[in-house]
Amino acid sequence: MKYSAPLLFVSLFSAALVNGAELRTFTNAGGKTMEDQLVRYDYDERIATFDRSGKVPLDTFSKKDQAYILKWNMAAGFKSKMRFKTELKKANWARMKHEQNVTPYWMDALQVPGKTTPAHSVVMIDDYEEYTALYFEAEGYAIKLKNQNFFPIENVVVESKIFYEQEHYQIPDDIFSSMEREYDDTVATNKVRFLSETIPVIVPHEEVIVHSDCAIIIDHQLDRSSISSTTEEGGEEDEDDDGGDEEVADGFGEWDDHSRRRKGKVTGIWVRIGIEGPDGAFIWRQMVDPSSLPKKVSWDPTTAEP
Amino acid sequence: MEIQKKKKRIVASSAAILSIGFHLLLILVAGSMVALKFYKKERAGFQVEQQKPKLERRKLQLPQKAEPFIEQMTKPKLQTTARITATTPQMVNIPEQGEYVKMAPMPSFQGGYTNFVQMDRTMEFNAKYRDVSFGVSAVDFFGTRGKAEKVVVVVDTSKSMLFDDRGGIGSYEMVHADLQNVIGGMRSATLFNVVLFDHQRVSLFNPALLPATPSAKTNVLAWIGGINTNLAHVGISADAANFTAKRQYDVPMAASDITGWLKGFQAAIELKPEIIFVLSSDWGSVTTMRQNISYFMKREAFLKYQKERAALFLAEEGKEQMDEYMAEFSQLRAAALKMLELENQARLEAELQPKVVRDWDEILADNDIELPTLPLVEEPGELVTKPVETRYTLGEVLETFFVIVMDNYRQQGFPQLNFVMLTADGYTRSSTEGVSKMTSDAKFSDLSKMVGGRFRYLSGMPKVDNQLDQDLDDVLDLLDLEEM
Repeated sequence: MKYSAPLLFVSLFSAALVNGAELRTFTNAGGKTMEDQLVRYDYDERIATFDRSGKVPLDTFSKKDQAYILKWNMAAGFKSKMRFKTELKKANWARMKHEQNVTPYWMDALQVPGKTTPAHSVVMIDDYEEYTALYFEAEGYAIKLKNQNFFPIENVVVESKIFYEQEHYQIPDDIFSSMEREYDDTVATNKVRFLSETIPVIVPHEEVIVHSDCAIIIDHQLDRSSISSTTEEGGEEDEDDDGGDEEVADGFGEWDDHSRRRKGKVTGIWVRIGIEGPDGAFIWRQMVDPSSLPKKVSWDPTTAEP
Repeated sequence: MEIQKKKKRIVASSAAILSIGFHLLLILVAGSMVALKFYKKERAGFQVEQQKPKLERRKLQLPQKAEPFIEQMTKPKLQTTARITATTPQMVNIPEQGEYVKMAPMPSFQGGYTNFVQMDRTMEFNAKYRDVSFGVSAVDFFGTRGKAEKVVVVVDTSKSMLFDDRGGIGSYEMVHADLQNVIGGMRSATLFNVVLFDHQRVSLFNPALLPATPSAKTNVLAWIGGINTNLAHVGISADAANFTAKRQYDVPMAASDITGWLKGFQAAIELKPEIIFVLSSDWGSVTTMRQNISYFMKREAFLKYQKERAALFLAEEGKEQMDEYMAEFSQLRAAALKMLELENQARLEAELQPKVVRDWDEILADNDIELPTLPLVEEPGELVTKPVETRYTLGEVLETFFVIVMDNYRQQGFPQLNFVMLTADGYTRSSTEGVSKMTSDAKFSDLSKMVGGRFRYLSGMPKVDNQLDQDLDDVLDLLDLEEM
């Protein structure tokens, strides 16, 4: 028993610290006021416990203060990591793969006056082969929320920003362009996709899963090579004196230069989960994956979201 | 005497002994028989006998009432199962809001927080009713099959569905008949929609998915039945095009360049069905008549490129050369239009539908008249815009496709996708262009493989032959006469 008083003090102090409770003036239905610190609220019994005044039934307060007490209680339950659990899980939602070996071609199109469809001139570049590999991946996160309070949590706002990086080629894939130095150069673009959802209510022991927006990751690989393997057979290609070991086609440059690749990757996710606090200001809980993400990116609330 | 007396005593005593012995033996036998019976009875007494039903129970049995067999059969069987007591589908709200996949059982708590009206129960709804195949329809659309409770069919209504080599209106009647089977066979609880497309124009029967009730089926079939029945008015009219994208997509293709099946598919995807069937005649916005090369054009870049080309051509060849080309094309165009007019007159007289052409030069090709060879750019490097920049690569189209799907479906992954392509009767599938993945069917086939879907060729009706065999000089003479 002798430890009960300090323990009670510590628990009350910690509860006050956790809940951010402070002295506030409460008004009852009759207009009388009291200045006290709200310590606890029993949702089932509908009784609020105050630091000095002790237990007071909720119904005795004015409507405004009743709403305040209920919101204070909800905020306390929401802020507790034990009672309102959150979890992030990365997932690959879909993938699409395309690989092909084709004969490269050069195609010109000319609009003939009065015609709907342009006229085409196609030159198949025989004896050469073009390998293209395309991988599309859609990645995202499942955001799991579990309310382990004995009361519901209302109007939960879940905002997520998924950050990813995608490379782009600097110049289009024209077979004449492969001679240019920038042909295999890529530029990385940082992308972010924002999503906001409001869950009307999460009842006790309910588990709700919402999802972030989708990050589309593309991996493209292009490789062109000669398939005229005539070196051993002594074919015509070998008769070129200046050809050496290098395959050269008129105007198309060296075929070794016809390869390039661009990739992408998910940088991470930043999730904010919030409810309106008793004072009207939003209370946010944040989650990031990986934990080092805030060093690379920032959540900028002042920027207009897409 | 004494000896005889002794003998008599002995005989008498032995007889007595025998008699006694005999009687004892009888007593022993009888006793043993009695004892045997006694022991048998005793053993039977230790056996646990099954209790026979008491007579009182019989008194409780009610006499059976004789009823006609048919009456017993027609009585409804009372069953109380979770499925039957579940909310009827009409009562379930199916909003297009956030998806909350997993829900805990409803707990008991005090307070007025039972407002679930806004919660999306779509997934629960699906899971609950899928067990009893509620609303799931088996669909067979030109050999591509699937089972789902949310079905969208996307159908090409453009001119290319009605070309002579693809069987003309006969092939479209085939499409009408198949749609009648598909839609007519749907269960009334299946949610469905039909999307029609014609290049830039896309028309949805209903803004959202709707149940395949008999009235809805009748209305949609009447709506489809009015499309392309009169070949003088092919495709979708401007006022019937009612689709606008719900959102903007971060894709390599410009919104105005997303046309044809891709735009129709986008409209279908935004309805979030479980299965989509696409019937198209071409892959891209540009499909060449003879080579069947098909791709999506970058309209803006193409116009820029054409201006650059014209300027280069003028600089290299001079204005006179350009004017010569233009005059030749103009003359051939006038002749082609006249040929088409004559052909359609002949078809009208033969009570046939008019000829549908993609371009005016098609009838020239039918009559073995070739257009002048196009001047090629000798030094493509001199142009700022490259020819390759005037069209989207397959990768860019696939990226657009992938983003449109995943932006709508996200964690649900891909829906079932099936593609059907209308081809000319006797279409040759393997060609140089096909091997290089330039043709429509090669691209549709690859896409189907990528998404785990099905691809089928729909061979059109036999080619519709021209009524007239026309000669260019005759037509030019006729034009001269008309001018005079």
